[in-house]
Amino acid sequence: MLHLKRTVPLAIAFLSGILLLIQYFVPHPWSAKFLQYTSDWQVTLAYAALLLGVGSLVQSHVTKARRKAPGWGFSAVALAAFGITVAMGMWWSVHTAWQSRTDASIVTTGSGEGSPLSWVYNSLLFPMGGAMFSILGFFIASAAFRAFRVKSPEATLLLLSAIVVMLGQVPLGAHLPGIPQLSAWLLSVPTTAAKRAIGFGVALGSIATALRVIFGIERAYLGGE
Amino acid sequence: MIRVAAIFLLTAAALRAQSFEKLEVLDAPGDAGGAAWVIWKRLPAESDEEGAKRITYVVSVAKDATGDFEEVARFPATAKFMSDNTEAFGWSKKTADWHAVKVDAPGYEDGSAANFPVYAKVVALSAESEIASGTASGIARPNWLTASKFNVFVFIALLGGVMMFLIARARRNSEIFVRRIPGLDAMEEAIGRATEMGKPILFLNGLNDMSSISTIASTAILGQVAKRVATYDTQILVPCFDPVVMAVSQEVMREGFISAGRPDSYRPDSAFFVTSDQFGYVAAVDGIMMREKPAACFYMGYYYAESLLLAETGGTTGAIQIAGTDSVTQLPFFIASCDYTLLGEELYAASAYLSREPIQLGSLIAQDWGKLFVLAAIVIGTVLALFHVQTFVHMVATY
Amino acid sequence: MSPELKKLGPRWVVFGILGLVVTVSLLFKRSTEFPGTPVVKGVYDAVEELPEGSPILISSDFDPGSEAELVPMMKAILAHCWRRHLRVIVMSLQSPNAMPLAQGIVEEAARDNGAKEDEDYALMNYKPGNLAAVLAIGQDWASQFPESYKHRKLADIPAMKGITRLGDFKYVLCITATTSVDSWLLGGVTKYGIKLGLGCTAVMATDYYPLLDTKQITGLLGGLAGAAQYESLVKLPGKATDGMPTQSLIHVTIILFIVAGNILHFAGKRRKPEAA
Repeated sequence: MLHLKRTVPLAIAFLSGILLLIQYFVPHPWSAKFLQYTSDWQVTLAYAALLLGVGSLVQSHVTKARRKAPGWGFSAVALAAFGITVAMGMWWSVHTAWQSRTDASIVTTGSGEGSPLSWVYNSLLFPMGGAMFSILGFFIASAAFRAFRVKSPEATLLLLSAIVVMLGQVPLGAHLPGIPQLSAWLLSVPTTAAKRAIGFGVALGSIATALRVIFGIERAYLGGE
Repeated sequence: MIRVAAIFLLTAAALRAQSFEKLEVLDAPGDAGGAAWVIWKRLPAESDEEGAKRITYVVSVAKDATGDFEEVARFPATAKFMSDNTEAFGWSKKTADWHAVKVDAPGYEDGSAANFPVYAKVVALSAESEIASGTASGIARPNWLTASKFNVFVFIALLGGVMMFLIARARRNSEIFVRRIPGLDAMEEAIGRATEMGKPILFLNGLNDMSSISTIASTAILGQVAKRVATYDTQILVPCFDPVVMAVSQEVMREGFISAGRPDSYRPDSAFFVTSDQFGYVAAVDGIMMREKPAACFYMGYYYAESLLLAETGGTTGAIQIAGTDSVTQLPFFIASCDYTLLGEELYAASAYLSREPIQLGSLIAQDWGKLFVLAAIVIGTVLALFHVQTFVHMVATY
Repeated sequence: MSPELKKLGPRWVVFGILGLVVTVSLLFKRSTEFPGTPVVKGVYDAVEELPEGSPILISSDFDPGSEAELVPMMKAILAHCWRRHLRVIVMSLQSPNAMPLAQGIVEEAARDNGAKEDEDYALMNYKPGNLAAVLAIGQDWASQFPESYKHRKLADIPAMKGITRLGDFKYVLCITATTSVDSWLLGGVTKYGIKLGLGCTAVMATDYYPLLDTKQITGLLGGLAGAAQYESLVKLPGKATDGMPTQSLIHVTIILFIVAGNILHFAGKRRKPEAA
């Protein structure tokens, strides 16, 4: 059992990691075919994982609703929304399949123009997503109000840079002499330098972590240490 | 005007008196096959830029010497040199004297591992005359190695070798110094606070999937947090954005609880999938924050625009907030709203820092050596470039 | 004051003022043109230089959350592509929600620009797997997209003529609110040598500036400001240009908040020792 839980996954990780690493240096068509197979596998697994997620979602909300845990009403709403959405998609599939018997131009699909799913998308998901994102503007203002303090020369420099970049990003800044140039310089020189410095650390950390995973030193992804 | 006319006439005359030198067809190195380079030396008439502008090259290819030649490229003589394609021809200054055009082998099909013959002809046209080359031929074949990526291989091998050596050394001597990381020290305190207050801990793994290094790092941290949570007997909530990350989080937590000696306290539903929709996820997690009022919020992994929405809402609930991300654009938001923030690679170091395992600490030091190497490369490259010595820059160029 | 508002502290004042500024500025619509910077022009020039009929791939990697910033950008780019008679193929690496949104944008833009489906443009589907998906289409387009979003076979779509793999596209534009651009960089630029342009949300833009220096992307459109600049370059003022006065006003308001925050902070500090 432990073999199945530890040794086999570690062997798969090692083999896949080494083969894909070698693949990077081998341009031959056989190597390209191997890459295509593994890519197809990854895509297939990504789809399969969605099912895993749906299972967890339903299970956790059903448990909450059944136990009448605090806030179980939200779980009931989530479950109902889930059920209704799936039902709408299925119903439209059946509906289009039925129509396609007589009209060959109609394709059997769960979504698409005029479908209930597209209504859910346009009338609910679309505005709700937009509303959530727009809250960010308010939170940025509030965070800037609380966090930007002239506490030290460095903090002052940071604040002044922020003001220049903010002005440089809007047409108003284009009318202030030197602001667009200074803003562009701040973005392309100091910001890029800092970003590269962090980037080097991140890249080295990524290579080290990848090598640790390939050689079985890092086992966190298997639930081990 | 007179100068232009003179050049025009001279180019036409010069072109008539010239012939192609050294037309060759070479296999494109380091490719999957089906491509070749047609190269030839610049004509003497191109020595003057104005003259070069007046010459147009036409390249045609066929699959046999007597077959139909099909035009594949037409360009002015001021373009397409070997020196533009350093990944194939290297950095020699002589490459600037040669024209080079990459052509597809006629009849080649994608994915074919066969060799394909390529026959090529070049014609130089000016307003008044044209000269044609003879026919050159070569074979486009698939290659097994890419020489231009050799430097990448050397760097990975070096870093891997140094890492293995340092891990082996760390196994013998576990006394390795790691500088203090206040954010990680505060984790213990935050978990203790949650226990005292009888409130849960909220742990997020970020919005990337399991192939992201930051997600792997965050699940490693989750393992350490779960161990402490089990020891203190505190509740932990891990809403997940990705189903695979959820499964891994459940396993990591189970192991954490087992190694803390409290397997019975582990609840598999502590890590649960919410949604893979960015703002849907934010809405759900913010809702959990407002209802459960966690005593501590840990934001580890990779975040996007939702970072501030999460951290600001967490802030209003009065929770201790510790973030760790390698998402450079989101770092300022976390720094502004959280009590502690792990910057970039500190996130990767967190697991080693918390576990103090020699193996992990060894690889941490290897990263520092790698960084030293990069720093040295930058300094050496810059100094040499100032003296117009480009060899080192060429050695580290990637394709 | 309600206890909820009290708990929010000065936040509610900030939220209130900002809400008011946005509302008032939107009531008094006044467009302001924003001339294109070299960073934005990098994308414009790349599209401009493509020969007529060239295929261009747009990866629409965002969902409704980022719609305000990225839709005007995408519309301006689409209009430009069709004006240049390019064939536009649209796909997504983001999420299943991205394609319905992309479909709406493309079809509306097509109506405005007289572009015909399957001839001037084709919609593909969402493909999970990020880098894996890019690598897969780099090898064989049909293995990942055997049919269009509307279930039409590739052979029946004139816009797809001659496209068998990623390398057949003369230009790829990633319009994104996620790190999907990393997949295009690693898979597309490094592995298959494609030419890449990037449009992203304003908050992401600084992350990708280094890619301009290394020439891994030809240009960068950051947020609504990037979109407004593109609209100005293609001389089609739209929603982004309309939004510029509001954005200017908000930026100024936030700057004033920062100044006010500092004044209050230091005034409070001075008062404390006196009280002691």
